[in-house]
Amino acid sequence: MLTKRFHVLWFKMKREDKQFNLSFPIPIYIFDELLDCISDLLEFACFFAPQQNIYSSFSVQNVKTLTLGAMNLFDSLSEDEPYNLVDVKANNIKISIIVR
Amino acid sequence: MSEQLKILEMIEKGLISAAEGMELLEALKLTNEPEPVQQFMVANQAAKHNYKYLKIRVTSDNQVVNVNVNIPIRLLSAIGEMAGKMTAMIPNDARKEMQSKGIDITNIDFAKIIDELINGTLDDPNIVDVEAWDEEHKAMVKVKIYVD
Repeated sequence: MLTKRFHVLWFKMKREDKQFNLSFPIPIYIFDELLDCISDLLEFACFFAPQQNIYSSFSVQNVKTLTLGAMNLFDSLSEDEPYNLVDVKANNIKISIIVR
Repeated sequence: MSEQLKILEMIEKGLISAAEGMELLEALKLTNEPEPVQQFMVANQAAKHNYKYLKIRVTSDNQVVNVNVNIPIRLLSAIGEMAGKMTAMIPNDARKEMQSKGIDITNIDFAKIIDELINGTLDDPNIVDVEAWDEEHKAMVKVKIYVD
Protein backbone atom coordinates (compact mmCIF):
# COMPACT_ATOMS: atom_id res chain seq x y z
CA MET A 1 0.00 0.00 0.00
CA LEU A 2 0.98 3.59 -0.58
CA THR A 3 0.58 4.42 3.13
CA LYS A 4 3.36 1.95 3.94
CA ARG A 5 5.81 4.31 2.32
CA PHE A 6 4.00 7.62 2.72
CA HIS A 7 2.56 7.80 6.19
CA VAL A 8 -0.56 9.83 6.79
CA LEU A 9 -1.80 11.73 9.82
CA TRP A 10 -5.57 11.31 10.12
CA PHE A 11 -7.26 14.01 12.18
CA LYS A 12 -10.71 13.01 13.33
CA MET A 13 -13.12 15.08 15.35
CA LYS A 14 -16.55 13.90 16.34
CA ARG A 15 -19.18 15.67 18.37
CA GLU A 16 -21.78 13.18 19.47
CA ASP A 17 -24.55 15.53 20.57
CA LYS A 18 -24.64 17.69 17.38
CA GLN A 19 -23.84 15.01 14.81
CA PHE A 20 -20.70 16.87 13.80
CA ASN A 21 -18.02 14.82 12.16
CA LEU A 22 -14.75 16.13 10.73
CA SER A 23 -12.07 13.91 9.29
CA PHE A 24 -9.14 14.80 7.11
CA PRO A 25 -5.81 13.18 6.26
CA ILE A 26 -2.50 15.02 5.98
CA PRO A 27 0.47 13.15 4.50
CA ILE A 28 3.50 13.47 6.75
CA TYR A 29 5.73 14.19 3.78
CA ILE A 30 3.95 17.57 3.39
CA PHE A 31 5.36 18.64 6.76
CA ASP A 32 8.68 17.15 5.78
CA GLU A 33 8.80 19.05 2.49
CA LEU A 34 7.65 22.27 4.15
CA LEU A 35 10.30 22.05 6.84
CA ASP A 36 12.89 21.12 4.23
CA CYS A 37 12.07 24.31 2.28
CA ILE A 38 12.26 26.40 5.47
CA SER A 39 15.57 24.75 6.32
CA ASP A 40 16.98 25.68 2.86
CA LEU A 41 15.80 29.26 3.27
CA LEU A 42 17.38 29.45 6.71
CA GLU A 43 20.60 28.00 5.34
CA PHE A 44 20.66 30.87 2.87
CA ALA A 45 19.74 33.38 5.58
CA CYS A 46 22.61 32.12 7.75
CA PHE A 47 25.12 33.57 5.22
CA PHE A 48 23.80 37.07 5.88
CA ALA A 49 22.90 36.78 9.55
CA PRO A 50 25.74 37.66 11.92
CA GLN A 51 27.24 34.74 13.83
CA GLN A 52 25.91 35.11 17.34
CA ASN A 53 26.71 33.42 20.56
CA ILE A 54 24.10 30.66 20.81
CA TYR A 55 23.54 31.53 24.45
CA SER A 56 22.77 35.18 23.72
CA SER A 57 19.35 35.24 22.04
CA PHE A 58 17.08 33.69 19.45
CA SER A 59 19.06 33.71 16.19
CA VAL A 60 18.64 32.38 12.63
CA GLN A 61 21.05 29.57 13.49
CA ASN A 62 18.84 28.54 16.40
CA VAL A 63 15.71 28.56 14.22
CA LYS A 64 17.54 26.34 11.74
CA THR A 65 18.45 23.91 14.53
CA LEU A 66 14.81 23.85 15.63
CA THR A 67 13.63 23.22 12.07
CA LEU A 68 15.99 20.27 11.71
CA GLY A 69 14.75 18.97 15.07
CA ALA A 70 11.14 19.27 13.93
CA MET A 71 11.99 17.35 10.74
CA ASN A 72 13.49 14.64 12.90
CA LEU A 73 10.32 14.58 15.01
CA PHE A 74 8.06 14.07 11.98
CA ASP A 75 10.40 11.41 10.68
CA SER A 76 10.22 9.51 13.96
CA LEU A 77 6.39 9.52 13.87
CA SER A 78 6.43 6.83 11.19
CA GLU A 79 6.09 3.29 12.45
CA ASP A 80 5.61 0.07 10.53
CA GLU A 81 2.08 -0.44 11.76
CA PRO A 82 -0.77 2.10 12.07
CA TYR A 83 -1.39 3.41 15.57
CA ASN A 84 -3.45 5.96 17.49
CA LEU A 85 -1.16 8.81 18.43
CA VAL A 86 -3.86 10.66 20.34
CA ASP A 87 -7.35 9.53 21.25
CA VAL A 88 -9.21 11.88 23.56
CA LYS A 89 -12.84 11.75 24.59
CA ALA A 90 -14.32 14.37 26.88
CA ASN A 91 -17.70 16.12 27.12
CA ASN A 92 -19.19 14.33 24.09
CA ILE A 93 -16.27 15.36 21.86
CA LYS A 94 -13.90 12.80 20.52
CA ILE A 95 -10.60 13.81 18.90
CA SER A 96 -8.24 11.29 17.34
CA ILE A 97 -4.97 11.52 15.52
CA ILE A 98 -4.09 8.30 13.78
CA VAL A 99 -0.80 7.59 12.05
CA ARG A 100 -1.09 5.09 9.24
CA MET B 1 49.45 -21.51 24.98
CA SER B 2 52.79 -19.92 24.10
CA GLU B 3 53.00 -18.31 27.56
CA GLN B 4 52.52 -21.69 29.22
CA LEU B 5 55.26 -23.15 27.02
CA LYS B 6 57.61 -20.30 27.95
CA ILE B 7 57.03 -20.95 31.67
CA LEU B 8 57.73 -24.65 31.19
CA GLU B 9 60.94 -23.82 29.30
CA MET B 10 62.02 -21.49 32.13
CA ILE B 11 61.51 -24.35 34.62
CA GLU B 12 63.43 -26.70 32.32
CA LYS B 13 66.33 -24.28 32.07
CA GLY B 14 66.33 -23.79 35.85
CA LEU B 15 65.56 -20.08 35.69
CA ILE B 16 62.59 -20.53 38.03
CA SER B 17 61.63 -23.25 40.48
CA ALA B 18 58.71 -25.64 39.88
CA ALA B 19 56.68 -23.91 42.60
CA GLU B 20 57.25 -20.47 41.01
CA GLY B 21 56.31 -21.95 37.64
CA MET B 22 53.10 -23.34 39.13
CA GLU B 23 52.24 -19.90 40.53
CA LEU B 24 52.81 -18.30 37.14
CA LEU B 25 50.62 -20.89 35.43
CA GLU B 26 47.83 -20.27 38.00
CA ALA B 27 48.09 -16.51 37.39
CA LEU B 28 47.91 -17.07 33.64
CA LYS B 29 44.82 -19.22 34.06
CA LEU B 30 43.08 -16.49 36.08
CA THR B 31 43.77 -13.80 33.45
CA ASN B 32 42.37 -16.00 30.70
CA GLU B 33 39.05 -16.49 32.53
CA PRO B 34 36.22 -14.09 31.47
CA GLU B 35 35.63 -11.28 33.93
CA PRO B 36 32.48 -11.50 36.07
CA VAL B 37 31.56 -7.91 35.05
CA GLN B 38 31.32 -8.97 31.42
CA GLN B 39 29.14 -11.91 32.38
CA PHE B 40 26.85 -9.55 34.32
CA MET B 41 26.58 -7.24 31.30
CA VAL B 42 25.55 -10.13 29.04
CA ALA B 43 22.91 -11.22 31.56
CA ASN B 44 21.75 -7.62 31.86
CA GLN B 45 21.34 -7.25 28.11
CA ALA B 46 19.22 -10.37 28.04
CA ALA B 47 16.88 -8.79 30.60
CA LYS B 48 16.33 -5.70 28.43
CA HIS B 49 12.93 -5.29 26.88
CA ASN B 50 12.14 -4.11 23.40
CA TYR B 51 9.56 -1.42 24.13
CA LYS B 52 7.82 0.30 21.20
CA TYR B 53 5.48 2.83 22.74
CA LEU B 54 5.17 5.05 25.76
CA LYS B 55 1.48 4.94 26.59
CA ILE B 56 -0.46 7.52 28.57
CA ARG B 57 -3.93 6.53 29.74
CA VAL B 58 -6.32 8.75 31.64
CA THR B 59 -9.65 7.12 32.41
CA SER B 60 -12.52 7.93 34.70
CA ASP B 61 -14.90 5.37 36.12
CA ASN B 62 -17.98 7.19 34.71
CA GLN B 63 -16.35 7.45 31.24
CA VAL B 64 -16.50 11.30 31.18
CA VAL B 65 -12.80 11.60 30.38
CA ASN B 66 -10.87 9.15 28.31
CA VAL B 67 -7.38 10.02 27.10
CA ASN B 68 -5.26 7.59 25.19
CA VAL B 69 -1.86 8.70 23.89
CA ASN B 70 0.68 6.39 22.26
CA ILE B 71 4.11 7.91 21.74
CA PRO B 72 6.57 5.84 19.71
CA ILE B 73 9.88 5.37 21.48
CA ARG B 74 11.69 6.78 18.43
CA LEU B 75 9.66 9.97 18.77
CA LEU B 76 10.50 10.12 22.45
CA SER B 77 14.22 9.83 21.68
CA ALA B 78 13.90 12.62 19.08
CA ILE B 79 12.15 14.82 21.66
CA GLY B 80 14.97 14.11 24.08
CA GLU B 81 17.59 15.14 21.53
CA MET B 82 15.63 18.28 20.71
CA ALA B 83 15.20 19.14 24.39
CA GLY B 84 18.97 18.94 24.75
CA LYS B 85 19.42 21.47 21.95
CA MET B 86 16.65 23.71 23.30
CA THR B 87 18.47 24.07 26.60
CA ALA B 88 21.27 25.87 24.76
CA MET B 89 18.74 28.47 23.58
CA ILE B 90 17.65 29.59 27.03
CA PRO B 91 18.32 33.34 27.41
CA ASN B 92 21.23 34.36 29.64
CA ASP B 93 19.13 36.09 32.27
CA ALA B 94 16.84 33.06 32.67
CA ARG B 95 19.90 30.80 32.83
CA LYS B 96 21.49 32.95 35.56
CA GLU B 97 18.26 33.00 37.53
CA MET B 98 18.07 29.21 37.39
CA GLN B 99 21.74 28.85 38.33
CA SER B 100 21.21 31.12 41.33
CA LYS B 101 18.59 28.63 42.49
CA GLY B 102 21.00 25.75 41.97
CA ILE B 103 19.60 24.52 38.66
CA ASP B 104 22.12 23.97 35.85
CA ILE B 105 19.94 22.83 32.99
CA THR B 106 22.79 22.64 30.45
CA ASN B 107 24.28 19.66 32.28
CA ILE B 108 21.09 17.63 31.93
CA ASP B 109 21.30 15.17 29.05
CA PHE B 110 17.62 14.61 28.23
CA ALA B 111 18.33 12.19 25.38
CA LYS B 112 20.40 10.02 27.69
CA ILE B 113 17.74 10.07 30.38
CA ILE B 114 15.10 8.91 27.91
CA ASP B 115 17.44 6.29 26.48
CA GLU B 116 18.19 4.98 29.97
CA LEU B 117 14.50 4.98 30.79
CA ILE B 118 13.46 3.06 27.72
CA ASN B 119 16.46 0.90 26.85
CA GLY B 120 17.50 0.37 30.42
CA THR B 121 16.42 -2.44 32.62
CA LEU B 122 12.95 -1.32 33.58
CA ASP B 123 11.73 -4.26 35.65
CA ASP B 124 8.30 -2.70 35.96
CA PRO B 125 6.96 -1.12 32.74
CA ASN B 126 4.59 1.07 34.77
CA ILE B 127 6.16 4.49 35.22
CA VAL B 128 3.16 6.29 36.73
CA ASP B 129 0.05 4.68 38.15
CA VAL B 130 -2.13 7.13 40.06
CA GLU B 131 -5.77 7.15 41.12
CA ALA B 132 -7.41 10.35 42.34
CA TRP B 133 -10.89 11.68 43.04
CA ASP B 134 -12.01 14.39 40.57
CA GLU B 135 -14.31 16.78 42.38
CA GLU B 136 -15.48 18.53 39.19
CA HIS B 137 -16.68 15.40 37.43
CA LYS B 138 -17.45 13.49 40.61
CA ALA B 139 -15.49 10.50 39.42
CA MET B 140 -12.41 8.51 40.20
CA VAL B 141 -9.72 9.34 37.63
CA LYS B 142 -6.94 6.91 36.89
CA VAL B 143 -3.68 8.05 35.28
CA LYS B 144 -1.32 5.44 33.98
CA ILE B 145 1.95 5.97 32.11
CA TYR B 146 3.76 2.88 30.98
CA VAL B 147 5.95 1.45 28.25
CA ASP B 148 4.76 -1.35 26.04
